[in-house]
Amino acid sequence: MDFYTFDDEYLRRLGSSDPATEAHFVAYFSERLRITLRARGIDSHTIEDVRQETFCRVLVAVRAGNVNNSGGFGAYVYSVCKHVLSESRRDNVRYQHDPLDSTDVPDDHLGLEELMQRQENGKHVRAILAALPERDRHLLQARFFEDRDNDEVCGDFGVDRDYLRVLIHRALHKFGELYKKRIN
Amino acid sequence: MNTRIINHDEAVKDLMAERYLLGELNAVEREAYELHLFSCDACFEQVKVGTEFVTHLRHIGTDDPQPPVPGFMGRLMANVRQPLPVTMFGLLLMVGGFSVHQNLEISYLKEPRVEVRSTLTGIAHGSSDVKSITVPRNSALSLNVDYTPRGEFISYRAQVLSSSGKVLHTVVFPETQVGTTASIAFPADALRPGQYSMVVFGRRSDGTQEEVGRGVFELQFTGN
Repeated sequence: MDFYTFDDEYLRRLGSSDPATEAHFVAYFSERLRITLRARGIDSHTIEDVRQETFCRVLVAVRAGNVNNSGGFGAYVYSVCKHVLSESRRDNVRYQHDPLDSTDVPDDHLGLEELMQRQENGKHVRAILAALPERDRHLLQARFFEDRDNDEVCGDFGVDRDYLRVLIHRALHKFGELYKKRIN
Repeated sequence: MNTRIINHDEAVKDLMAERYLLGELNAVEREAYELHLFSCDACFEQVKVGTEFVTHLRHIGTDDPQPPVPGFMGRLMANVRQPLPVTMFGLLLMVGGFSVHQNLEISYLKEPRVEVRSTLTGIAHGSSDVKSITVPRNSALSLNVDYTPRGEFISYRAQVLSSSGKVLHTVVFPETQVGTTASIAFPADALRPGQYSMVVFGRRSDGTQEEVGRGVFELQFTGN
C-alpha cells in the first residue's frame, strides 16, 4: 500500500502532525497549487499567500477532525484554495498585481540542481523545435513566445484548433520522454 | 457553480492537458480539470511537464534553432562538390575577417557611453505630440514611458514601431516592475533618424491585449 495514499490513516497522521506526512502534504499540494494558480495568471506573491493560507486552513480542519472524506482529500484542498483565492481577490481589488508575463515565475527555492535541470530542459525544447517542420515551429513560437490568440495564430497559419492541439500533444510527448529520462 | 467531475480516460481522450495549456478551457471545464489534477497523478505530471515545456517556449523566441546536423552522406556530398584546399582557405579568411569584425563590435559595445534620458509625456493618455529627441549617435537613449496600469492586465510590454507601423523592438516589463513609469534603454544608433512610436500594451490572462498608451518621437543625431 502506498504510504501516502489519501486514506483515513493519512489524515490521522496529518492531524497528529507527523513530520513525514506533513512534508508530503506540503510538497504534493504546493506543486499543484503553484501550477494551477500560475495558469490563471496569478502573480507569485499572491500564489504564495494563497498557498500558505490554504495549508493553514486545511491543517486546522484536519486537526479538528472536520475532514471526513479521506478519498476526496485532494478535492477538499482544491476547494479551500478556491475560497482563499476569491477572498484574496476581494481584499486586493484596489491593488494592482505585479505584471506577470508568463508562467515562468522566478522561484526563490530553486537550487543548483533544479537550475541545471531547467537548462537541460531548455536544450531539449530547442532540439524538439529544431526537429519540427518550419511551419510548426513558427506556429508554436507565434502562440507562446509572441503570446498571440489561438484563433489568430491558427488563422494566420491556415490550420484548425485540432491541428494546434495535436501539435502540442506530440511535442509534449517527446519532451515528456526526455524529461522523464533525465529524472530517472 | 457545481463542478463537473472528469475521469482520467475522459481527460486523455479530450486532450484536456493540451487544451489547458493552450488556455482553451472555459471556466467550468477549467475548474473541473484542475479538480481532477488534485487527485490524478498521471494528468498532473502531464500538465507539470507541459508547463515546463511552454515556459521554455516562451523564452526561446524567434531565434531559429540550429538546423539538424546533416548525416554522413549529406556531409560527404557537400564536401565532394568543393575542392578541399580552396574551401579551407576561404573558410579561414571568413573566420579571420569575422573575428576581427566581432572584436571591433564587442569593443564598441563595451565602451561607456553618455545616456540621454527622455520622457514621452502623455503617453498614457495617447498624446499626439511628437517629442523631438536629438542625441549623439554613440549615446545610449533611455526613454521613460508612462502607462496606466489596470487590474484586468497581468503583464505589460512596450513596442517601438517605425513610421510605417513595423514592429522594430519589443520589451517585456519584468514582473518586479512597479509604479506607472518604465525606463527602456537602448543604443541610440539602434535606430536610424526618423519618426517612431512607442506603444505600451496590457495583456489579460486570456491572452488578449490592449493598447494602454502611445507616444511619438522624432529621433535625430547631432552632427548629422
